[in-house]
Amino acid sequence: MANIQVSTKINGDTYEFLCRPDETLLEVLRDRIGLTGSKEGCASGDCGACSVMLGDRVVSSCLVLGAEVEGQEVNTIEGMADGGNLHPLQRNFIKFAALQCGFCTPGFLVAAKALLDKNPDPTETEIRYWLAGNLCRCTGYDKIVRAVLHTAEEMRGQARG
Amino acid sequence: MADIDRLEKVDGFKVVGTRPNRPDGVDKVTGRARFGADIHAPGMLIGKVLRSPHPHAKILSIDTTRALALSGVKAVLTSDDFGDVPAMHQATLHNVMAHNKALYEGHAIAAVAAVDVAIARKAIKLIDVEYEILPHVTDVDAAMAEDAPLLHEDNFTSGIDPKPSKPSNIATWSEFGHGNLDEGFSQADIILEREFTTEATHQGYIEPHACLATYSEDGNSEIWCTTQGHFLVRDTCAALLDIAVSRLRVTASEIGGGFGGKTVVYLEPLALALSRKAGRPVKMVMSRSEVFRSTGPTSSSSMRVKIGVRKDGRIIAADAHLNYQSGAFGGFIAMLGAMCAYACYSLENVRATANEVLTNRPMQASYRAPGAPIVNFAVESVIDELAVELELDPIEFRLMNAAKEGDRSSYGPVFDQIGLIQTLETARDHPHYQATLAKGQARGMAVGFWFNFGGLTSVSLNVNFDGTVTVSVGRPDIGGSRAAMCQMAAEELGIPYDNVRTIIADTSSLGFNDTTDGSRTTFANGLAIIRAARGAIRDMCARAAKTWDIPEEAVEWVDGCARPCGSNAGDFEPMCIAEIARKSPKTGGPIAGHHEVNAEGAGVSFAVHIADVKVDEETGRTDICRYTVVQDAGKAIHPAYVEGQYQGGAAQGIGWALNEGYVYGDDGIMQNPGFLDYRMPVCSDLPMIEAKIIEIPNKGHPYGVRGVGETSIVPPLATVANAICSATGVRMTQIPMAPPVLLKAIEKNNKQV
Amino acid sequence: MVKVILWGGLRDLADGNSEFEFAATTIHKVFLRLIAEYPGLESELEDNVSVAVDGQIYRDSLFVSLPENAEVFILPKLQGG
Repeated sequence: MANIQVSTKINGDTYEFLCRPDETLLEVLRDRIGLTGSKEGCASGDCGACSVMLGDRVVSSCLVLGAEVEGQEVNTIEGMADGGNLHPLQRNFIKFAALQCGFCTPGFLVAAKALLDKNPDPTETEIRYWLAGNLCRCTGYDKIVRAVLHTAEEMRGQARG
Repeated sequence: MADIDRLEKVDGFKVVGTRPNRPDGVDKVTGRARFGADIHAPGMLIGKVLRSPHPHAKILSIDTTRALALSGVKAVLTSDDFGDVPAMHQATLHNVMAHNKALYEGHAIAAVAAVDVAIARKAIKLIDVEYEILPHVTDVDAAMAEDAPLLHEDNFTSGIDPKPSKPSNIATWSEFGHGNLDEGFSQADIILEREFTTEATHQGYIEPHACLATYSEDGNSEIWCTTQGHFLVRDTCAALLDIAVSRLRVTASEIGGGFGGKTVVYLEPLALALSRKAGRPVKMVMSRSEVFRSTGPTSSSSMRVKIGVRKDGRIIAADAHLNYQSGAFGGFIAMLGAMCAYACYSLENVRATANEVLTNRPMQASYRAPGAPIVNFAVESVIDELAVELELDPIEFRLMNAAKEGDRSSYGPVFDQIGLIQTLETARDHPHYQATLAKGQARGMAVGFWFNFGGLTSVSLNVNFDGTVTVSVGRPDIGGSRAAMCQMAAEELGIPYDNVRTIIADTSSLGFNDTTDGSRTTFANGLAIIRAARGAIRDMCARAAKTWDIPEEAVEWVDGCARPCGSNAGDFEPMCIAEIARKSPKTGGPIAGHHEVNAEGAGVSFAVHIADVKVDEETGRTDICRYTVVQDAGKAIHPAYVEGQYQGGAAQGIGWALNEGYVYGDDGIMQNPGFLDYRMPVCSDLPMIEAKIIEIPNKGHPYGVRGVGETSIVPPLATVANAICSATGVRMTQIPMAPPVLLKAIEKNNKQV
Repeated sequence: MVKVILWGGLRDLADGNSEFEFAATTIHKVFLRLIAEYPGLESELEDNVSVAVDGQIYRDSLFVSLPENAEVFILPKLQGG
């Protein structure tokens, strides 16, 4: 199998890489680019630990082939903070103790940001269903949901100025 | 200085009890934190394991010729590469790599190291193994039958006298209790006897096992891995590979959950042995399917519970027999279950007996309060049924029979100070228990018990020249414990939380530390850190005394500063930690504290859970509408992470109650080795989980800390079952109470009614 | 004097006895006394027990001093997750 040459944007920067035709985006990110913030929990799209943005969609990067991202834009957990400034979700996950082991956290943050970008005022139920594709075994989700609710409120306050 | 063993601080805390940001928080929200699989080494090979497709088979031959001939393959490993090991490590060795026989589907048979993952995957398919397939058994009751296939021909049940004349699959028998059961039952007005079964569940940590091992030509080696106990990894791997402990350094990565499942080695000895053969670093990462088929899980069980009660509500006799399936190698989980069975109750006549049963399933590993949730489901279900029969409120019934100080526990010793009654009373008075039920909902509750542990602990604390402090501990931080460590050091030293950093040191930097399990980390590390800090304070006070030329006794430590005290001390401005530290090169050298201890006095704990549920009688689906955990923390150092332990344990227990379970076909193959079919609770399955912390100080810890990690998984199975019974009138005797199972039971019940 | 109780699993190694009373000031001395009388207990007491002194559980501490009239309950070794 010949490797495929791919050109893409990751967290705003241009990358060119070669990958096998069967290599997933998650493998490319972790093993070729060195962005290990996206995690492999299952490699079958069930746990959400590898969630990244592909264009404006949240995807499980273990279910996307590296070759598929040619010409597209990928955003990962590593691109969420603005330079030294954490995104409000990142800040509030820490403040609300919304992580214990922290392994699922990158995936939750990517998914939660995608929700708030679409819906700045989600209900608890909307948050719970949106995040149902991300598994957390430590927290029982309580503090994660609270952190997202609080962030939404905080960001709405800022938007109103 | 005061007696440092004594409980001496119960209020007036400045840092303890607050909720500061955790020191590893930013790394974990930015993706920077490095977990087991997040590391690369120059020249690194990838290791993969060939696993048995059969649940039980003799290994007649393994031919590695074709695999070794594949370009890019650098080493192939079989059980022949391991020599004899001490008896205590034999089961571990034979579990990490099958020896003569494959004992379960997924049992490691051989391993390869190759230049990349694609070649490694290809190579394991080129290993030719000749098997003689043997009959298998995966069910706990079937494994105890006369004609059951034997896993180990040399297994004679231990714990019974005389020794059995024939081998069997019962590894161990154990028995606990006191009093006279026959006499007790003869006085009972109501006797209920019920049988229960539960299915095995997996710890379900989201991070699969992963490691990177490097064996150097000079005999020194290093392992980086995700584990609950890197000292245990070091000592086990050193024993399995016959290398000196001092030659192996293990560094714990950040750990993506463990819950007991990362207290044993799987990949680490294989990676190190492959590295020794190949002369290059070897990285190994499990797939999710491998995690399910080859690691964990906890036991499945069959149980019989018999309880006799007088009309006045007093439990007069209680008996239980447990059969726990412990996988391919004997364990200790049934014994722990038997010990916990009736620990919540004050009983004159009580017995619990247990069989540890071998089956063709993966070797069971500890899972959060190992053994306790299983038997708790059975006992608390019967207790609930008795409360209904007696027309007593379930909490009042438990209060009438609750264990208290001075009572003989069902597992043997008398209880010293325990907080069960306060925990039950707090639950009874809690707004949730007092609330009127919403329409269509029903309520259940249960109480649970767990031991907590301390254990071997070694920490060091260094005061830097700017007066900030670095603490090194030797137990991986799974749930935010570094924050609690910083808090206790800051509290004791009287300095701000932000001036303390805690790191997890590697195995060459500290003395042996027991694994992060048994709810021990905040208790035992904390106790050692407080004592280490007191050592540093003593030194700093002495240096201030010398500077002022006054006796050491005339100096006290207040709010981060040495101060003269007493009438003859003289009048000096307080000398604070930064100043003492800055001058330390001239006053005797670096300032540090350290402490090594086998921390005892962890103190047992109790929890009460309350659930409101709604059952859809058309589908059998149960929704948890409201859930509350009430538990004693002794002293909550970082209350948010204590709540997190309560909530997480409850969520895992709810998953166990309602959905999770290993499914085996007649072929002995696990049918659901993935998160799609092994369904753990997701965000939309659960409500907010209210966590009520009670603080009854544990006198074994200077601040009163008690372990909190495990007890919270004990009551949920029975809590949910009892709520389902209130909702439907159906008393479930089988876990998981998955929709099809519950639906069938409801339909059966409706026919009878 | 202290009162020593063995959990059921050790009874057979002590000729069916499970309760003893004798003078001992530490857990270590309790073990030595028991082993002198019942050598079969040695390996169990070495590796496989925890001890509760008046209800306070010690997993592994030989030199805990025992109060007069203490109850010393010898349990199987406890493990957690």
